[in-house]
Amino acid sequence: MDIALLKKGDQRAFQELIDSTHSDVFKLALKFTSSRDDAKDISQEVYLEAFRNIGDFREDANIKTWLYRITVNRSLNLIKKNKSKFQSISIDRENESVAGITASAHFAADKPLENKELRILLNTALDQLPENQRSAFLLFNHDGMSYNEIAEILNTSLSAVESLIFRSKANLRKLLGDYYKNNYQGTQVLKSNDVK
Amino acid sequence: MMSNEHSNKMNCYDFNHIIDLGIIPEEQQTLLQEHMTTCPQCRNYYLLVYNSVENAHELLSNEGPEQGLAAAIGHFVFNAARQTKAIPMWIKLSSAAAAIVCGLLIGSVAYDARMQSEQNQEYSYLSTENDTLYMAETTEIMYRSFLTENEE
Repeated sequence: MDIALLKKGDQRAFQELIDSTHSDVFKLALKFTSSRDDAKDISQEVYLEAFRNIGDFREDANIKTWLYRITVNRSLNLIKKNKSKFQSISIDRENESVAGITASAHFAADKPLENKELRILLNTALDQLPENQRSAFLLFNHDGMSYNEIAEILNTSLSAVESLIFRSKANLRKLLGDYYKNNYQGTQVLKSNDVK
Repeated sequence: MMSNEHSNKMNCYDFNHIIDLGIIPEEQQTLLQEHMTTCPQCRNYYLLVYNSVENAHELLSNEGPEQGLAAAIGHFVFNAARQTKAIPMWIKLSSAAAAIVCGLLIGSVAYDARMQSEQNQEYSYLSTENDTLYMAETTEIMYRSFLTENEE
């Protein structure tokens, strides 16, 4: 990627940048927002911001990392801006999960959880994490990203990233474990009573 | 806790405890696997609490964009950039300087006008139409009295 051409505002060079990176930017935005429409909007805004501020880009840095940083900021801003909207989605998703998973637990507690159910529960738990833990966790699970890259994107130290990911995992285990114990084991007690 | 009727070598309590810690010791892996094959509840617990966290990349959406997004982004970016073309720095600076000069000019004119007005108010007694009429009447009265005195 010819950074000098990009800095001159060369549209062909910038289109090449879009072609080669937009898929990863879109996927990352989708992980944050869980909405394809929002991910598409964010992708457009990311490249517009990049096009306008390409002059500020340090040539020694990785342009994809820079784009990821804009993507994370834009995604978090959108989530903040549409907090009420996202809360309602989250509630819907929770209702869906509570209704769906509890129903399946009632009727087939012995049946292995399906990926769709696991994904809904994981996303619901992720929504409850602090912003920095969620960002670190999602970046860690995106595109095989290294701790160094995550530190650069979040503008923090390597040790802080390690700590954020460790805490995010511990919190997710706690949230999901509590959910399981409150929902599945209650069902199992019911089942045991039924058997008796 | 969970039913233990299916397990032979590891009970559900120990299984949960290991999963809650988030680190599965190598020597326990076989026991865990064996327990999961006979205890569906513990298998679900493992899938939800351990596997979904440790292998989240397999669960989280990794769907790519639809075809044509790159072109749409390019179109959006170049159109928006054209509409709001960046203003060169020299224009920004000269506009700022012109604004300051205009401000100073208007300010100084307004200040002069105000000072002038204050001075006029201090020394003029004929600033209103009523004052002018009063002056004229007074002059006329004085003139008439002068004529009257002369006639006498």
